[in-house]
Amino acid sequence: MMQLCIARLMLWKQHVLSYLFWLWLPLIGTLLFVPFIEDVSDEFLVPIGIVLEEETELAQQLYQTIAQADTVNVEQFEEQEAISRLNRNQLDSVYLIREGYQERIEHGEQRYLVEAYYTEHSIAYPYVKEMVTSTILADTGKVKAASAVVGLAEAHQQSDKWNSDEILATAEQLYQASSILSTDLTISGEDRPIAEHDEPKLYWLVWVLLSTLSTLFLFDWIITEKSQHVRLRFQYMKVSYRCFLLNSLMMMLIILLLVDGLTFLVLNVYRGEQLSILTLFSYRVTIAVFSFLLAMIWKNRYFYQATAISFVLWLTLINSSFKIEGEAYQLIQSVMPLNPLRAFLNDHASWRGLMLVVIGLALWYAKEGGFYARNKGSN
Amino acid sequence: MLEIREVTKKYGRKHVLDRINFQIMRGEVVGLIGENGAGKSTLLQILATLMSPTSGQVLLYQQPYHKHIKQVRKKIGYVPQDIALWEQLSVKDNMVFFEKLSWVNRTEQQLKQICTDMQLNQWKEKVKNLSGGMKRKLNLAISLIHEPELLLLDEPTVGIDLKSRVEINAYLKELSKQKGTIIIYTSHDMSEIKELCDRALIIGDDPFYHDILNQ
Repeated sequence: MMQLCIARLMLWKQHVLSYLFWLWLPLIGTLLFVPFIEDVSDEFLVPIGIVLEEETELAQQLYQTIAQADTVNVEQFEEQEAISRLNRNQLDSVYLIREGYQERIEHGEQRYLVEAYYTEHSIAYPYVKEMVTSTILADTGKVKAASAVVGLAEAHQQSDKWNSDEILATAEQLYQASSILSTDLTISGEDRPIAEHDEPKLYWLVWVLLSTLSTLFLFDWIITEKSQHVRLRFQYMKVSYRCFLLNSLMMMLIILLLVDGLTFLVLNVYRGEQLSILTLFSYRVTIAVFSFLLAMIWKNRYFYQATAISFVLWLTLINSSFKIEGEAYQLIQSVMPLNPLRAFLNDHASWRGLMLVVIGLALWYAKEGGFYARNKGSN
Repeated sequence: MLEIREVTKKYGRKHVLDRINFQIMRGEVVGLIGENGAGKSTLLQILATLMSPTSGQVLLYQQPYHKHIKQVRKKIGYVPQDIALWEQLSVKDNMVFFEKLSWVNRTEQQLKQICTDMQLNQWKEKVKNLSGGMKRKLNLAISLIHEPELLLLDEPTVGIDLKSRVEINAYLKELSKQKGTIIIYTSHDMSEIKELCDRALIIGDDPFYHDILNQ
């Protein structure tokens, strides 16, 4: 076994720089790429200013609602500063939540609660205006409902059992429980509602795409080697060529798992991007064996590399949020259960994919055995 | 001793080899000649265990091929017509690589000696930088790492310079004499066959080869 490993390393050492590059690309690429994307996406957010003249609960809620919007970057200012920045085109628009906001809502007022400053270039104004309006309507609706309930309770001499705060809290609970997003809609092809899906694992998503590409490229030596006449010599060696290749696959798998172990530590522990070690392991074995089998099929290295790139693009496509319709959508849905990335990103081990590639490996081994048997070999 | 008994090879209905019989003694150098398509390569591949005969038997030192394939292969050295080397590795690394996977253990010194005996002195040079003649020598040297008792060479000197050819042939003669290796050699060059081989076997029934061999 040791002799086999030494022999394999002799061949790999000729391309050590290339292998090191592909081995470390996923981790280093992810650590560089994701923060860059996050920085860039921040720059694409529309900057808006909020002036908070009171710190009441409803005023804070409105502020948070606006701040959580995906397309805007919200900053809090004093009124003069905000308007000055708007004049210098440093802000898209400015929203003033005036003193007495909560009190006026509690009195059922719906008009002139928030003042807005904007220019003819403001693109976020209509969007934020809608958001503010719907929030205020929801809040005043809840307050009106609470007042009605309290009124009814007083009419029936049960005012000691109910107060407005309790009614508002109950209303909020009912509102959350009947949220349309958590009951009706599901991500295509899956049973889990959208609300139950985890936060997107951006680091692991970028890593898994880079890792799939790099794993495929790490196995292209098979194509170069198997096309050489040197394969004939293995008939007279103590190991067959298929055993040599299988041993090489195991060695490469061990090296990849070591690098994955470090990746797991860096992303899981250091970056706090949670993922199960079992998920990582099953993905790694699946994609390594898949790459090995794919390389065994192809005879031309460049066609193999083109296939690898196309495969990763396809994976990116079916795992992305691009809207696909018609027959292509049906086709993608039919292969979705076998999509190893989908399982990976949902933090599930892809046992079906793993089983498929193991069966593929067994078939390849038997077929290569047939090659030796035809030649009266005993390997 | 190598014995070929009633060996026949058919592809479909076509007989490529028809009931071939011959024996080759220890230390003998035998040339296989014949026109293209006569079956030289087929016979060589059968002797190299890369192909099985349709009928008949091959025995190496009393061991039938079909029963003792593993043991037989340990005794065979096959030098293919194509260069079967790792081009990106050096001469040394090629020798060490195949030693690691061979049935025997050899020191680096012993491996180097095989190359030196063959006038292949560019020990650390990468194969891709070697001349055609030097590649042929290394192609042969690798097949000799496990000291085979039967050495099969498929046109080993094709396309190389005269000096390398003379050196290879001198080495093979010495090998058969010193170690008793049975050497079977195919070539289209009759002068080479006459110079190197103790006898020649004509495959096929073309009278041209009989005439030229007797000249």
